Amino acid sequence: MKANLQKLIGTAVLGLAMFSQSLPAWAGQQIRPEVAIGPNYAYGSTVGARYSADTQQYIWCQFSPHNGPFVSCWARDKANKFYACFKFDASWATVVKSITDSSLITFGGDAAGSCDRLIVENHSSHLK
Amino acid sequence: MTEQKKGLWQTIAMVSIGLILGVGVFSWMTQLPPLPEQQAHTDPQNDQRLVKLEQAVMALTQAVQSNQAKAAQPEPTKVTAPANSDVSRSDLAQVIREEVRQAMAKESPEAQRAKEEAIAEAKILNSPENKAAYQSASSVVQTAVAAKRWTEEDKETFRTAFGQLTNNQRMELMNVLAPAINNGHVKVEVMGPLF
Amino acid sequence: MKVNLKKMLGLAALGMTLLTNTAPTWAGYKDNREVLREPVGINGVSGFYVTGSMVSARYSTDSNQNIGCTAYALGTYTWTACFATDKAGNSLVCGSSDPRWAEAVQSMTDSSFISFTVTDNDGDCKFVGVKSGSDLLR
Repeated sequence: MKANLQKLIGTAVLGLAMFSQSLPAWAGQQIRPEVAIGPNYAYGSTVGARYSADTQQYIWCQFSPHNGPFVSCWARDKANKFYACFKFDASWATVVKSITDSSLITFGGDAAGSCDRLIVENHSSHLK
Repeated sequence: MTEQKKGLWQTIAMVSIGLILGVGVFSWMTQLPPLPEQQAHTDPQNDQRLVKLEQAVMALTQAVQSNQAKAAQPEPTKVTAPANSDVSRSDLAQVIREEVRQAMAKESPEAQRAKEEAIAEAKILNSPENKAAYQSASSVVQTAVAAKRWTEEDKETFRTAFGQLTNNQRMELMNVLAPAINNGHVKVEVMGPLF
Repeated sequence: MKVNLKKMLGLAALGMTLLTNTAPTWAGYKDNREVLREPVGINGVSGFYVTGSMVSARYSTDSNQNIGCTAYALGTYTWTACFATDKAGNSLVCGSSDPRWAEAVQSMTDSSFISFTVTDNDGDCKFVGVKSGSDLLR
């Protein structure tokens, strides 16, 4: 009798706990593309790359104040395709510094690796 | 008593296991966001060279006006004009020339940037790539305004052409597209940024 | 043995659910403001301003809300554009070559609170503000 009562109370409490718990409804817009490499361009979200199923892809940019300032961007997709480009320009440093943990980065240039565009999107839809 | 104690220990052990499992599941389900960083926002500085230039101009003006006033007055006797006024006028003129030269050489960052943009714009404007990009971008904007919708395809076309435009051309197109979207005349059918 | 196992499982499940219910004991102030788009007057010209936190938009219950800014480096130009949509689906967009707004985007983090203003008659960003702080963390 005692065991049954204990079981009953336990189940009741468990049920109550489960139904009163509101599960997180993450219904907001989500855009987290993985890294894609095209002819002389690359794009991808940092979150999409970091939390992808493979261990290959990455996308990042680097800024150095020396000799420039100097900006470089690098990307590799899951098929191991690679693209990188470089630029010596102070205004590009501002854009590189905009990159956060959840940015969507697009960059492109010529076959020699000279960048002609860098776009950094900081948008709620790119958050994890 | 022994059985009760045994039961009690078992209960404690089970709840502890449950708690540990709960911590593990909860940690796996949630992640803490990164700590925010605050960055400073710098303010523009006044150009003190312009202040010096202004002072030099005022001094020259005063010198010219005082010389004109002297010329209007009748001279009782012929007296050789003192060399000082000529020297001071030419000195002032030299100061002004020097200040203007220095001010033009050391422009404010904003003026330098505007100059660089104007040079870059002159290079790009009316090049074949720029003409094609402007044609494409303005066409997609006009079509979107007429159709009252901005689609993913519009976003891609506009984004592609965007890079080949000058800042003035971008602003010109923004001044057409943005009011249409902001006032609800064009319905946005894209997820995330519009271009 | 069977009874003990049942008891074990029951208590384990209870412990788990009780913990997940009570674990978030993060009592600091939290700003949950979602994306808000409101009319405004700027120097006698009508327009709109929009405010909202990235986290609130991302974890909202609807699929309309979004807010953010994009920084562009294109050749020797830089450009900034900000976009937002509220839960009713009303959008706001502005763009500018003003480097002040590029600096503002530079200070953005994942949990920033963004505000921007634009008038009815053009697409120029009149103001872009970025706030970061503990009350905005998820």
